[in-house]
Amino acid sequence: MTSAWVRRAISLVIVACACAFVLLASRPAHAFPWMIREGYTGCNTCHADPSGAGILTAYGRGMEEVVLRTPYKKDADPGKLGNFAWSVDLPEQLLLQTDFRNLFLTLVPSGGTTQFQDVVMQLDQSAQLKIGRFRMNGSIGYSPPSTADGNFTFTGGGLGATLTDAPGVDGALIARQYWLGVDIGKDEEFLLRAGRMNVPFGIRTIEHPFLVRQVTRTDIDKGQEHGVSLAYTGEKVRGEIMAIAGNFAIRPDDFRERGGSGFVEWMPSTKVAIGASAMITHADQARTDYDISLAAAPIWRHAYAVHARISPVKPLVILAEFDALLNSQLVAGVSENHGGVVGLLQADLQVYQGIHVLAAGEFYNGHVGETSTYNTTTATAWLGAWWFFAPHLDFRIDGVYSSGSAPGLPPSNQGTSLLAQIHGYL
Amino acid sequence: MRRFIAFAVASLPLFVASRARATAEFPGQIVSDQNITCANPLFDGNGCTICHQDDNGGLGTATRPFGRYMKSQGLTPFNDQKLGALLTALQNESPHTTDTNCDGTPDIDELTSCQWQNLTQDMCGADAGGVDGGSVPLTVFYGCSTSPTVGDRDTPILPGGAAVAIAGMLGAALIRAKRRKR
Repeated sequence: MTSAWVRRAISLVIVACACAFVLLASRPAHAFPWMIREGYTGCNTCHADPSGAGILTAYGRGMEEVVLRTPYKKDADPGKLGNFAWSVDLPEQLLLQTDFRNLFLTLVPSGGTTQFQDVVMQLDQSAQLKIGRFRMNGSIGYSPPSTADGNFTFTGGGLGATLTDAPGVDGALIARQYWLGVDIGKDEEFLLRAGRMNVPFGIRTIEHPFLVRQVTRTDIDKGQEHGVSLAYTGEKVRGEIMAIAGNFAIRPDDFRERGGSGFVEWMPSTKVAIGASAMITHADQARTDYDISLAAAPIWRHAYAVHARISPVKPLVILAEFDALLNSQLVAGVSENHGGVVGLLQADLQVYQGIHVLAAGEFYNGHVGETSTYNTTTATAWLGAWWFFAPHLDFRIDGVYSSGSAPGLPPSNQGTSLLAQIHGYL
Repeated sequence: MRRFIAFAVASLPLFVASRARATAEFPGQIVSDQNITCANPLFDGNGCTICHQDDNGGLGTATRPFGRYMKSQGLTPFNDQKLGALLTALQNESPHTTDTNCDGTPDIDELTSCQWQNLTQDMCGADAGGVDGGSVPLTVFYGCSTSPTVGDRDTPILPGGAAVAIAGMLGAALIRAKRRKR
């Protein structure tokens, strides 16, 4: 009964998304993406991924110099500073980007011993080759092995996006994305692609530990899935739908989630974007390592979201997302359905060009640890500052308090974390 | 059109497996690794059903208790060395204890005494706590299924097909750029 209902729901979502694309795909893509405060509502002008994140286009590199980082001279011509390796003129068909991101994390758990971690979050080489309308895009990186000394841990990231067995004594090769695509339409407003990609759902944000991204497993760190997607970017509407074939960087096959996900976003003005998302997946076995309250049995996982990005005045951007969740399992012949909600409200204040103050509040209420001492309701507060202080370089500090845990987060998440990150790219 | 064909040809290796060792060898390897000399160990001529639902095998069909257990220990298709290591680990148990199908006889003893047919039976019942009523909860492993594992370092880290495809695409781009210059 449940399966039939879910199949019907999947069909409805796919038909609705297809109708939305057909009805709303009307005009060529003039909208410039990346930062809604600058009036750019979409993403594909600055990023190779039409839904945002990852390797920058040549225009995106220029924008980073012009509107993102702190300027030290008035009306300075950025010249070639935004180019690959600060100076290299690449052929028009080729995009290259080398990223390094390191995090120093101090965890002060409630009632526990303070822990220190150095996390090599990203050491990736990304590339895109475009010949005519055809694209080949991918990234490859390295995640060092973990070592521990007392209360200090050195570790890599990207578990779940690994080509090689992980964690391993020699570290692991990471491939977050690799896909082949073809641009379709008079103005290449559609992109059809197949491979491993970010899952189109909700607000695509760099803060991958946000509960809305962890609980739904749609973060850009390691939450990518293999599949086929169709993205559309228009002046007033953008969106993407993806048929998910599973994450082939995990095994055995029983854990791979298959289904569909998609979002559509409407931009009534250059300062406002409102969106909706849906995702339904099925796996032969639930990830009990993500959510200890799930049974080791097949699972249908649903998530439905609404989100908004609003810039009421240029220095301020408000991001909000609200997700409704449903996990449906058949355990020993008995149907178990567990609902939940997760939400995010974030404010990004640019106090001076290149200097941002960020505040965020999150909450989660759901079926976590009903058989344990973990909270079923979690609230999180973030406060941070971010400085794009030099070409291709940025530094960020955050303080995070969490009242408990949630699916995808460590059980010991309760407490305060202090984060210091440095990011550089060529 | 020519551009599309060139792109398709260059991309084709991405979808071709870089190595094709047959998992059908697993039953025979168990016999040889364990020096099984009793009569007719492969009771049905294939022996696949100690792990798989039927002799056709295939991804996602190793759902019998012993198959689930071997997957839970990290066995992947075509990985002969991992199979050997896991069998050795079972043989080294002292005493032999792993009994994935709950029939009272350790799995390794059933294998070496040619009781493979018994190993295909799941006697654990619905309340055993594992997947589909079996006794073996699965464990998630990270790394794509054809990735190298400890002791299997001869497998290329980057699939050969991907390397050829990338080289092909770069070559095509260079040729195109040269033609444009002319």
